Amino acid sequence: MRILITGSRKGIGRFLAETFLERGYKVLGCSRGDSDLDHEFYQHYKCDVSNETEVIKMIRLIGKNHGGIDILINNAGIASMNHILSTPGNTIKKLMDTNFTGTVLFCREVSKLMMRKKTKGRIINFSTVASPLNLEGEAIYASSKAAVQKFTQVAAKEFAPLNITVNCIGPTPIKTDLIKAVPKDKIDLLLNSQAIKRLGLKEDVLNVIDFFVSNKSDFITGQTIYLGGIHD
Amino acid sequence: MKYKEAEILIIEALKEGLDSSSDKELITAINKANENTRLFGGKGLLDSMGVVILLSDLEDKLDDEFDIMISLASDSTMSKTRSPFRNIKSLANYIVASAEEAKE
Repeated sequence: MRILITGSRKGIGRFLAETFLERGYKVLGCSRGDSDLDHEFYQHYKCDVSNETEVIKMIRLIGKNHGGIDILINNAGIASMNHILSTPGNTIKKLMDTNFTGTVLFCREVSKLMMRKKTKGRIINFSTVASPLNLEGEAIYASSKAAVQKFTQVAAKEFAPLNITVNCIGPTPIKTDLIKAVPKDKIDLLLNSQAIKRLGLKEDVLNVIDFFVSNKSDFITGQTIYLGGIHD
Repeated sequence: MKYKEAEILIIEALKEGLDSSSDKELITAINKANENTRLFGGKGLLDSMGVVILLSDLEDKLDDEFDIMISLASDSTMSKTRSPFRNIKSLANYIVASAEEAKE
């Protein structure tokens, strides 16, 4: 099995890459910089997920070198906390480009490859609980992820005839670089709105991914599963 | 890339796309295809999904056979009024122009 994980250099992406390598998968990863993950079944590509040309080149290269992709995990993402009144235009563009455009470009190119190779593909996109919770200070981040969820629902319909399922996971805060700049009181406030009031673990994310990629989940598509008991 | 090469590429892609089809009318039409063959709209050979699949196959062939790595999806490609998928001739011209643009 060949699994492509975007944003695999650190955080959840790195954890997922290492876990799937342990399970014997061939793992293909990417990030803007080099990776120090050294494993005979890991191949790293330098790619800006929001750069259309780079994404096309990378997926074509993978098609040639590895024959296809079975699972795509669109993990790459960035966050930024700011009041709307003080959010620079460039920040809005960067967040939308990485979180939304990047997800769309990878879905498009990888699903083409899956279609050509007649793969029963699985795609998992990343949202966040910040979207259903309408968190103050996260207007742009939450909006970019809401767009990912809507895209997932439409993609599920368009990709169903190609035997590709597309689903989404909405993690709670997890101890990674993504939340290191968020003040503790903000995190506590967020945890209090969850049914189960604790930080998420990388293993919680893995658990949902395992469900989505299971062979038995071929009737599950267009769904978003939030961690911690959050719902829309 | 020359016009004739693009035309041959399209007809090849159409024929290869037939591998699992049992539609005799479609098989005959594709085997007789020439530059004036209507692809999409009216009595075209392809439905919208067929166009998407052809587009993807053509991108693959352009890369494999001509070392041209481009995405054929664009606003004008998918627009109904100016679609280059009207017939094989318009699509071949579009591919030649896209390949030229990619070189620059």
